[in-house]
Order: sequence, then structure tokens, then C-alpha cells
Amino acid sequence: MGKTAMEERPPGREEVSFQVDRVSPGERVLSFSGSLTVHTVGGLLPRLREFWTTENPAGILVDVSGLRKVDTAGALFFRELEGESRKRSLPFAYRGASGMLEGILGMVPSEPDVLPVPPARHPGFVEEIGKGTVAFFRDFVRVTGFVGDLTLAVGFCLVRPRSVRWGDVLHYMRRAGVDGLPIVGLISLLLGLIMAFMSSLQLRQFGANLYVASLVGIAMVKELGPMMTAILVAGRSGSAYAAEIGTMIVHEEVDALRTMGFEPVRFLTVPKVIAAVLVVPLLTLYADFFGVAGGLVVGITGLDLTVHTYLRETMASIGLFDVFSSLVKSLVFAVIIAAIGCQRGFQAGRSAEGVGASTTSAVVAAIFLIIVADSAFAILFHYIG
Amino acid sequence: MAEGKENAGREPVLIVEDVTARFGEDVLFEKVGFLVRRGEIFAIAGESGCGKSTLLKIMIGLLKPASGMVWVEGVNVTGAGEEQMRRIRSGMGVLFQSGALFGSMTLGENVALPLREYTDLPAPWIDRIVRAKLAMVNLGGLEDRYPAELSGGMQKRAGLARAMALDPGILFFDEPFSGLDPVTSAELEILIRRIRSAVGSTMIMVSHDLPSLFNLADRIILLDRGARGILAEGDPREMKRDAVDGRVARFLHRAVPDEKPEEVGE
Repeated sequence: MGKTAMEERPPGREEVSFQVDRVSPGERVLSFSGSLTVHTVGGLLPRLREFWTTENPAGILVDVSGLRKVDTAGALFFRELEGESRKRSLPFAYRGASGMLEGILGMVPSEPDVLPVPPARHPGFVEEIGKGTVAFFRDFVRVTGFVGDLTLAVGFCLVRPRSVRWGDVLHYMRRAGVDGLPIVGLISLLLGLIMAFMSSLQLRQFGANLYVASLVGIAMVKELGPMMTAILVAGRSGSAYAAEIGTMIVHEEVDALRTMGFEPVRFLTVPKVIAAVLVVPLLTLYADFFGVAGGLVVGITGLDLTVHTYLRETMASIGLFDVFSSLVKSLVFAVIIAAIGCQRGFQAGRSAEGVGASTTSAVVAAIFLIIVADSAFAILFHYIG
Repeated sequence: MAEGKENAGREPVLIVEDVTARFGEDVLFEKVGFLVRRGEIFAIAGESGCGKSTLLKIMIGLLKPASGMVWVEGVNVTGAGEEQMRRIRSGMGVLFQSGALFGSMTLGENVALPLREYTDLPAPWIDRIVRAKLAMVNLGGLEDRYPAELSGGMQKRAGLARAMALDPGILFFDEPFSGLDPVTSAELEILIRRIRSAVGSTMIMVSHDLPSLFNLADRIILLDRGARGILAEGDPREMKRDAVDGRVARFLHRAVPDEKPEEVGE
């Protein structure tokens, strides 16, 4: 039936006409014709309001025999009319209702079944602070718990090295290490160049050109080499670890691991931590080398130093202890990056948004902890060295 | 408690005792209890949001219930320690909704994983078992493919091969038919039936796809959000015939079309 009505509809704009007839002193007949749809209902609303304010009917009869088409909006319009009549305790009836109208009215009950939903509560300022504090401590507890799990897992793998998935370790070493070589080299080279150039502007005034070499060497090896490398690895690999584990959670792969009796922390985190611990110190040495090379370029081209002089000055300013402490630092940074990346991945929710948030959080938290650890090392090495 | 005729009297392999689950502050279901006997195909049906996936996760020990206990092969899963859990899990397989294959591993490596973890079989033997399992689910020869190279139905079958790697006594299925076209769905039904008769595993499935469950299950429980628990339990066909409770009747008749196609209309 509905189909026929659709076919009969003339092309062009849909229109509806509405008229009120007074059949007896109180009873009003509201006649509709045309199409009462989402496109035409809007025009009727002011006229309906006007009807209720000007007329004072004792009964309503709605003549719908002239309607060719009614959609959900049209049906809602009639339900509204019914509701208003009920509120005024007026008798209400339809005349000439087609099967189509009855069908659509059946889909829009006057009192729809609504699931009982508690009204949304907007927490106050104090509640927000409380929630934030609780969330912070929960996060702290989770991270601590994760560090415990990770320590146990690493301990287990040290006792049973065969349980480590060495294929995965190699895979992650390539991803974090080999694939990171170009960007780490480039950034370090530029860092060396910038440092040498900026410091030369100042030192030249005092005829202390030669000290550019030691400045770049010490800064790169002691601080910037380990830190820049760690920040780059956190951005490249820490985020990747979080995204990988987060996606595995979304795809129920972590659940599958658990049901197969695998310890997810051991299975997924240990290879990443081992790979990072092996690769980040090497990357740091590589960054140190490129940083010094960047300084060297400025030294030769801008400061009239020879390669030999520059390198001799650099080597004289860096001790074995400096290189060693730089490697120790980078090792700790590596553990931080891999552990935080994995931990944030494990706490990602089961949604794409959760994975995104965990990835961001992995990078931010890793960089923050790297800098905190670096400050601690600065004090520690001051007293040791 | 209504039970499938052929399985009545067999020992129970899984007992769920007064389990209550909450989602935040909402109670999903309260004091749900049933038992599954060895060799049965047992189905938990219900509409989305009734808590059936939560119940499954509680049964396989991934979630702890708010209260109640789950016994699998005589061990209390809800209170089991790591080592006990590991032993129980070696005897159960789970097919997750999406297959949950590890994307970084080939199909062969996925299926081999539990074999490597739980057995000390030499590598060639593991390969032979992997090939056999994949052939069982009609994926023979695809050992070296990665999950991303397969269709959804194939991934699900590969997930089934991995769940069956150790020939577990109990196989759990989470929405096995969701996302499958009717033909693939029917193929999976046949496969599940074949595996049951070949391996004899007890199968517990959770699904909202009542027609498929009715074809397969020996016994079924209907979980209902409104009732916060089990709405009905028993043989699916009898349940449909005897449905007196308005809600059960509505639930069943809506989900399962009548057997005679001419009554359904065009």
C-alpha cells in the first residue's frame, strides 16, 4: 500500500494543506491533505499553535483521507495533537486513516518505551579534584604493580633464557635501532652544528675558539646524546609499543594469550625491554659520534681549526667515566621507555580512542620520567665523579 | 534443571554457582547458576548488553565475579592460583569473537604457540599437528599466511584451529557466528558438529544468534537483562514449544523463524 502511494507521488516539492471546519458548536474537523513529512511539518507548527490559541474546541476529528504520504515526523505531529487533546480532555478521532498512516503511527507510540536512564550528573569542582587525585594514585599503584610484574618476568627470563622469544627481540632491535639510525644521526649532527655555531659566536670574542670542541664534546656525551636519543626512541618506539599492545587488547589478543596460559607481561614486554636495553646505549654512542662530527664541521669551516686539533681537544675533555656514565644513563632510559610504553598499552581501553590516548600518554610519561631520571643522575654522578 | 537427554547423568565439567556480575554500579546479572555436562554443546543466549560475554570471561577466568563461584573440572576458577589456572587452561580452548589471532605471526605459528608452551614435542611433530589442525578447519596449506591476508570467516576458523591445538576437553566460543554471512555461518556449524563428534569436547557457546544455537545446542539458557539472570533453561526445541512466559515466547519467536517457510510470508 505504502508502495503505491510512493509511486503516485508527483515529482517536485512536497506540500501539505490544512484546514479547520466547524461542524457543530464545539467540534472541529482538522483536514490534512498532501504530504505530511519532515519537509512540510515545520510549516504547520505555527498554524497549529494558532489553532489552539484562537479556537476552544470541544472535540477534535482529524480527517486524513487527503494525505498521500506521512512519515515519522508526520506521525509525531499527530501524536502531539493527540497529546494536546488528551491534556484538555477532548474526544479525539481520526477519519479516513489509511493502512499506511496506521502503520507509521504504530511505529511512533504515544508513550514510547524508554529505558530507565539515570539523569547525567555533573560533578562539582571538589569532586573533580578528588577524582583526579584518586586517578593519579591509582595510576601510581598500577605502574608500581607493573614494575613488579616486569621485574618478576625479567627475573624468570634470566633464569630460563630459552623462554625469551629471541626472534621478537631481534625484530624489535631492528625496529628501534637500525630503523632509528638515520633520524638519530641527523638530529645529533644538527645538534652538534647548532651548539658549535652558537657557542663560537660567544667564545670567538675572547679568542677561545678552541673550547668549542670541548663544549660540544662534553655536552653531547654527558647530557644531550643520551637524552636526545632517549626522547627520539620514546617517540618512535615507546609509542609503537603502546599502540601495538593497545591494539592487541582491542582485538582480544591479550585475552587469548591469558587463556592459553601465557603471562602477557612476560610474553609481550620482555622482548621489547631486552631489545631497548641492547639498542639504546649503542644508539647513544652513535648520537655522540654524530654530535661531535657536527661540531667538527663548524670548527673546520668557521673557526679555522684543523681536524686533528678539534679531535684532540674533544678527546682531552671527555673521560672514560663520562662515556661509561652516559651508557648507564641510556640503559636506564631504555628500561623506562620500553616499560612505560608497554604499561600504557596494557591500560588502554577497548576502543580506538583508548589506544590513541595510551600512545600519547606513553610518550609524555616516558619523556617526563627520562628527565626526572636524568636530574637524579646529574646529582649522583656529581658525587661519584 | 533441564538437561539434554543423551547427556543426563554424565559428570559435570563446569558448574556456575550463584554468580553475580556488575558493570560499574549496574548489576548485569544476579545469582546465575547452571552446570554443563561432559560432551554437551551448551549455549548461553541473550541480547546485547545482557552480560553473556562477561559471563564467558568469568568462566574462563579472565574476570572475577562480584560474588559466586565457577568450578571447571572440579577446580574453583574464581579462587585458583596462577599454577592451578595454568593447568586448567591447558585443558580449555577459547575461540574469541574476532578470532584474536596474533597479527605478527603466521597461521602456523599461531596454532603452534600453545603446542610449544605446553608440550615438549619436537619441532617436526609440532609442524605436523599444526598442518593437521589447519586442515581440519579447511585451511590446509595456508600455514605461512598472516591473519591480515585472510577473510573474517577464515580468521575465525584459524582461531578455532588454535583453540583446538591441544585437543582441549572444553571449548568456549564467544559469538562464533557474528560477522559471518549465512553460508560461512552454516559451514562453521557443520565444522563445530564435526569437531564435537571427532574430538568429543564439551562446547560452551555464547551468542545472540539463536537460529544457529538452536541447530547446534543440546541445552540452552536465555540470559535476560530485565530479569538480571536466567530467563529460561532447557532443550531449545522444547523450550520454544513450551514457552509460556510472555518474555520467553517473545524472545524465542522473534529470534527463531518458524520452521515452515510458507508461514513466515514472502
